Amino acid sequence: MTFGAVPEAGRKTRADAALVAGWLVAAVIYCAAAVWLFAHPASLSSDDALFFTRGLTRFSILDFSPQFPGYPGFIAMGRLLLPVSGSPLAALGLLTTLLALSLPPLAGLVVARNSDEGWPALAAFVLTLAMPLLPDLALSLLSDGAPIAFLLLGLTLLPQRGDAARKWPAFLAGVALGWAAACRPSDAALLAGAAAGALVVEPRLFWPALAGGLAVVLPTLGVMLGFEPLYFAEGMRFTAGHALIWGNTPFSAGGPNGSWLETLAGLPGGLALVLLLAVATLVSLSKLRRDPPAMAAATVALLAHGIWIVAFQNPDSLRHLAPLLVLGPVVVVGVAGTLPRIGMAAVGLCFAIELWSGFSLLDLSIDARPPLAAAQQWLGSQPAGAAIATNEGVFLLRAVLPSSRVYDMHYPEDARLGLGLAAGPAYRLTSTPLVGQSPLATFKGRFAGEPTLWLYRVPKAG
Amino acid sequence: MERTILVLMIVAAALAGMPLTTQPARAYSYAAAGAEPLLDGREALFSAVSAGNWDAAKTALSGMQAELTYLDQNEDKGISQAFDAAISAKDPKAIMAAFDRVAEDEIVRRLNGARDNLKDYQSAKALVVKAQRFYTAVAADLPPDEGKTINTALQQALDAIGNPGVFGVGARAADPDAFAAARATILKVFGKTP
Repeated sequence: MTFGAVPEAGRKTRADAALVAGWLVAAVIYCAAAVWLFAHPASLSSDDALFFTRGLTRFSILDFSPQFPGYPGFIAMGRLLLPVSGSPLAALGLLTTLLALSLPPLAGLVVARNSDEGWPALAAFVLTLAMPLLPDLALSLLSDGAPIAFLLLGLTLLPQRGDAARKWPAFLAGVALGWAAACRPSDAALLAGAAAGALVVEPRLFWPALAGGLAVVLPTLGVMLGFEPLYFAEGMRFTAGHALIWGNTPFSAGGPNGSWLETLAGLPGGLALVLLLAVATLVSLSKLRRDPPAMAAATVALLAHGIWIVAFQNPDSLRHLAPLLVLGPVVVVGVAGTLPRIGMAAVGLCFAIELWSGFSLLDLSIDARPPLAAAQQWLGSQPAGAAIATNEGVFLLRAVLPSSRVYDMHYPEDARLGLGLAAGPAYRLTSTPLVGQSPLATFKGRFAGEPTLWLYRVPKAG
Repeated sequence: MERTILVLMIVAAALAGMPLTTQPARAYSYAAAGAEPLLDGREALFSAVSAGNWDAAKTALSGMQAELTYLDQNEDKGISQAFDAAISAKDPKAIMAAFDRVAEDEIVRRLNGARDNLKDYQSAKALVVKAQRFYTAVAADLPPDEGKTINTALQQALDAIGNPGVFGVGARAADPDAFAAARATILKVFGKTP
């Protein structure tokens, strides 16, 4: 022992104590967030959520129960929860909340497995917990959280560099990635990016990981074809329709409406957050070959998903960014490990923007309902014979307002004439305010990613 | 390197307050299956009718003429005349009623096709699904209280087609009686004789 070792040991003890205190505070906030999320009663907020509840009791892709690609892994997990939750709606709420709550510990675990220090895992945990779309992933009853959770699980299981001779961890990581694909096949670019990133730095993972992935994907595909022999035909129709007709992609008929830039500008701090993550991704890419497989996988997955959503996803749906905002903190923390000074600043900035972004749009009341449910209640109190034209929740409103005519704004002229000839009052429900008109009611989104809806009375000619 | 990143981070922070611009959101309609002459024609026809432009309405109707002639000759005698009379009378309600009739004819036509091809899983299922998608696209034009009955009957018709399974595993034979019952329910709602 030397005299100098005493202050060094003291500093380390203080740092360890600070880390433990940090974890304790983070755990308390995490528990509070969990209580807050579970306090919300499950409530349908979109047509897709309605389709998922139907899929838990009657699986039929052609009948939108749920829509293509069927989300078989997600539906299977929902069905497992049916006996303990009592109803498809409650099962879906329980599943999506559990999946969303699994993200911070899994992100922390991925970083912990790839770092020698304690604070990076804590930083990844906190940044994921503060991610502004976390309430949306938990309460919108959609499948977006599932593939991210299983991707993170896969990254946790991936062997370290030089450890690739151990086949089973790579096989299990492949199984996790395969299950992520079964939960949400439309996140294929994200998962393919993760696989590519890991294989670039450790090619020996290929065969065991591929075997694990196929062990899930092939039986799942067999089961899907068993349920619906026209699975691929519906896939062609749905994919072409999404990309070229109704999906509001750059290739949609009439061109895209709005852009990701506008959507991000609508989220306080959204542009800054994505730009920060983009910079972190570029820095991480520059040192990719020196990274452990899991960190390289996170970086390339982030890049691949970013390209995918810009080319093929509807910019109206902020939730498509969720994988970026979960993998982003993992990458930022990874960069911080290499460039400590600037990296710590990036972690702090990321955390500050997340808090600003999340809390600006957050309604902490557990009584707040999804805008579509609130609109439904308002419209349900109107006299029979009312007509509503909407670009949100056509199927849901038709299901819950059986004595009203609900027009789909995909056919605006049908809606216009129908509203004009309606026996009762006529309304327009929209997720963008109409210029120069005063709304009858505004149904505010409860958190980032949940669109606010505006309701207008439509005057009749004559 | 660190300085470049710092500059980029400052730019990121500066961009944070950028204001939101708004455009009317579009509808994301899974039922929009692709080119459907009657639905495209409906948009053109109803646009002209709403604008009170009856010459444009006649032009829009001519775009649907092939479908209307087929229905007139094979499914519903007099449907073309109903449209002509509504346009001559410049009556939007009559136009809407005529289109409701077309929508019902189209759904029944596809169900009849499925009934006649019940042994051919792929054709029968595709026809019922087309009937279902068509119903979804016209549901608001038809009497609202009937929606649930029609939806349930269309689901029963889908189930009645059975399933060939994967290499025979999970195969389920078609049930003509169940299909006939589902079809009869829908025809009854439309006021037609099964």
